[in-house]
Amino acid sequence: MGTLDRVTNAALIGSARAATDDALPPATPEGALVGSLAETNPEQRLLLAAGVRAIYRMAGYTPERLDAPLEPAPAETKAVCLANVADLIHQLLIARESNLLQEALGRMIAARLVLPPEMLPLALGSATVAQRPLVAQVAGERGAWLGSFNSAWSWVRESLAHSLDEMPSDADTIWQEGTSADRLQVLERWRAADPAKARDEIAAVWRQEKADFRVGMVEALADTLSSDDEALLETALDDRSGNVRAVAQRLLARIPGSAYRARAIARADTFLTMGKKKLATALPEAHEKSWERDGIVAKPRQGMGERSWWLMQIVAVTPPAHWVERFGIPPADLIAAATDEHGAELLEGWSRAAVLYDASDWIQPLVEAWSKRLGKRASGGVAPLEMCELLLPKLPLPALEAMALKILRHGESKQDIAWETLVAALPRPWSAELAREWLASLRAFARDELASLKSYAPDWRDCSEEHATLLPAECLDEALSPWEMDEYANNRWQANSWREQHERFLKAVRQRQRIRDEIPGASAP
Amino acid sequence: MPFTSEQALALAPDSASAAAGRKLANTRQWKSLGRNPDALWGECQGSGKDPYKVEVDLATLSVKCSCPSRKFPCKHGLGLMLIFAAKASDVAEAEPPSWVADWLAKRHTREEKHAAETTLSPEEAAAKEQAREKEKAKRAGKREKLVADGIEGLNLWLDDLMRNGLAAVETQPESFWEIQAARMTDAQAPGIAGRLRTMATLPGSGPDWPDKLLGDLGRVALMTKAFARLNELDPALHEDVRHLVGWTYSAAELETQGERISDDWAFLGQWVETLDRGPVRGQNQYTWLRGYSTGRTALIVQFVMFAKPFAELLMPGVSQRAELGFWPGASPQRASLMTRLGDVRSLSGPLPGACVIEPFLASVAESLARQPWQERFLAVLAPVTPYYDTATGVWCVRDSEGAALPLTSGDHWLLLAISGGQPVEMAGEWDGRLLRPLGVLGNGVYHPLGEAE
Repeated sequence: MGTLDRVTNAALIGSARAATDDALPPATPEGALVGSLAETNPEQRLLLAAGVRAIYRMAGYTPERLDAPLEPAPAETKAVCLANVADLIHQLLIARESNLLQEALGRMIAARLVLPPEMLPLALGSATVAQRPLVAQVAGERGAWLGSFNSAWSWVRESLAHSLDEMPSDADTIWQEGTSADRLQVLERWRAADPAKARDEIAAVWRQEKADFRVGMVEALADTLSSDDEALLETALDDRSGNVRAVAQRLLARIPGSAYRARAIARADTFLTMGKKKLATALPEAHEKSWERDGIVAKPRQGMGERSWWLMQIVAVTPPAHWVERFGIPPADLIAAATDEHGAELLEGWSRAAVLYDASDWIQPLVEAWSKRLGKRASGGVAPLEMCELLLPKLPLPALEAMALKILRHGESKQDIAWETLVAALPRPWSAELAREWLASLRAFARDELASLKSYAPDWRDCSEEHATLLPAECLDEALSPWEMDEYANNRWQANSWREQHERFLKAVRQRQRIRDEIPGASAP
Repeated sequence: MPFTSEQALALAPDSASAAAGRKLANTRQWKSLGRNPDALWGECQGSGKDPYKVEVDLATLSVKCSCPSRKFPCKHGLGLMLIFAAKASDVAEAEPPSWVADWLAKRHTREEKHAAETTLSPEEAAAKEQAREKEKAKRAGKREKLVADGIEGLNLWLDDLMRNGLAAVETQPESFWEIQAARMTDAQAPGIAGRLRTMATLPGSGPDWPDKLLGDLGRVALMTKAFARLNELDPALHEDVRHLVGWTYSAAELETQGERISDDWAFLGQWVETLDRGPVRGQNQYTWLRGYSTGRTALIVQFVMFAKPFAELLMPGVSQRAELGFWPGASPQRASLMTRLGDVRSLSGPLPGACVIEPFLASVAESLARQPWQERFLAVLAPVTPYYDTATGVWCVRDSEGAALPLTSGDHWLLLAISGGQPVEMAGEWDGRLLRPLGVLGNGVYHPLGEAE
């Protein structure tokens, strides 16, 4: 290498400053060759030597040696999907159709299919954080292997590890040194296998952890909650972080016979008495400091008097079943009896308590009571709509659907909870009955009303890409059968805009249809 | 099926067209679809009243469409090819409708007419040829004088450069190179001009730039010496030096002078170089072929101004029987596609003439001994394993004997994903320092690796 570097150095310095011929001893091949050319000037001699040298080097290239190849990827345990499926996924990935992609990936997972290797860089590179758990499963062994070379893709292996139920062999090390997410995974598995051990581990590290992690640790108790957890949860009630206290309150409320429940009942009892068919309400005189840890906050929300605020919260943490038992009348009658000036606070408190304690017999009467108040809002009081939104997901499905069906059949009246609110509360996909009724009413609208539409179509006549994902699979064909409407009868922009939405809805339904056509149904594992 | 979706997408002029084509790759969007051994056709409902009529010639993969798009091929053509590639049975065999038949017939007569124009009576032809030869010789003499003068100037410039030292060029503006390159263009030596423009990108480009630049300057100096003694060279190398300096062959010249080889050619890979320096802005497309029976390697270079479509549609990842015309030279490699003789078929293994790294490098050395100015070589390697060192970020391929070639800068995730760490067959372009992956065989399917996706 010595002589070679001398040539480059000589060229860098230039012949005006240094004698370049010294760089070309005749003993080297290029020196000998150039010497034989008898070129006129040293610049030419240097250049020709450099050219010869570059060609010699190219011809004499000696490859590096590598001791061993990479550890290859393990063989796939699942089947690789066919080209048409890969193509479909590719299309959904680049179009960023996240709802449809989710459905397609879900079907692939159920059918135990993985993506072909050539799709992996795109799939891993474009998966959003929310899509990662699904993408990781269709990435297969090859995806996990590939991800180990790229720190941006390390989530593939992590998500796969999390989807396994078995305890990692290095669980203790992960618990001591791992990331928050990994540590919570370990904690959850401990909790499932041995609730007491998990509780002890939480107690041991409690003081040294950050608030977010303390929230996670308390939440890990939820699945196998028992009265053995009470002591730990009571400690959590004294936590500095409001979030930690809120989770602990929620869990303590769920433990039958907990001291928390007993305290709530004892506290609330003094404020409610039954007169003649009418509940009499007394307001607390002062906020006791000990209430704070049970979730009764001293400072009222804007516009509300502090004593009313305290009462509402006191009722909100008390098991609603207690009132039925104490006064001996069903929830609907209790609600009807709450007619004094603090009726709104009672109603709000009961609503929150019904959700907290999962008091199913209270939900329907409460929803009815709030829907009567829709559109009215007392100063400082809660919005009736907000309470409906809180309660509706707890309402039994037939009752919820009945409300939606009523709007489809008869339109929306002032007393109805808005269609939009119902749709947000309904589980997805819809039941076949609701979907069929919705399609039928939409068809009737397109056929009879679209031609004369002069303003916005009402909410329950909306259709969009979103609606395509609400339909159950068995209704897709029905959505695609020809639509009867007069394309040119109404050229107002409201009608045009509806037709555009409808077109997008149909397009999304077609794509779902294609997903189901092309990705086979679940196979036996 | 003659091609895969990946290959069809590689024809897309840009990523927007590729995405639009994918959207149309759905039989629901098509009113009719059909094919015969020569062509695919279909009617695609667009925003207009009448559906667009799309045709794909299966021999050349040229697309004709009634849509007004200026993209070529348009999204309808791509969609049609994608449907066919994904599931050939979706495009049923049929009698071509009249509009397809017309088009096929028109193409046919055009080719015949072209042939007819060149048939003159023997006397006429001889007279015309004589006149042309005379004119040509006159022009050629004039050009040779022009080039020789240009090279004399170049040598003075090179001497100057070496006197002042290469260290000084790092701070020179681009015009330092461009002025000399423009002089070489004026002197009708575009080959040398192009080399100077490439050199302009080297100073400061990496730790070894002085070495690279000196090597390139040295090669040009050798070229000028060879040009000065053109008539002492053997005829093949004489031709090489002429096109290194800048003489090119027209299709007609290749017909008569070039070596013509018919074979089943594997289109192993393609890449596009953007030329954004000097007065010539455009793209150079390099397509590498290797013949199954002859084992010959061919490089087809196409140039276009700006981002227009390339004249000949060359799809990597397929094979086709064809006749190529090779540019004369001591180690002929550069070629033009003369006639396509067979159908386009999807490429599958084994790749023609694959070997491990040592014998490949030996073939490079041998080829350089015949024509020392060659810059690029087709490497068809097997079995090799892609390798990525996460600690250093270095990519390479390692053969079964432990020899390794480093890959070009950038990421090679697709190559790594397809190999899964197992030995594969692959093709790449070797420039003496780095290997540019062009394609890899995975699971019996050849995946072109380009900038297309």
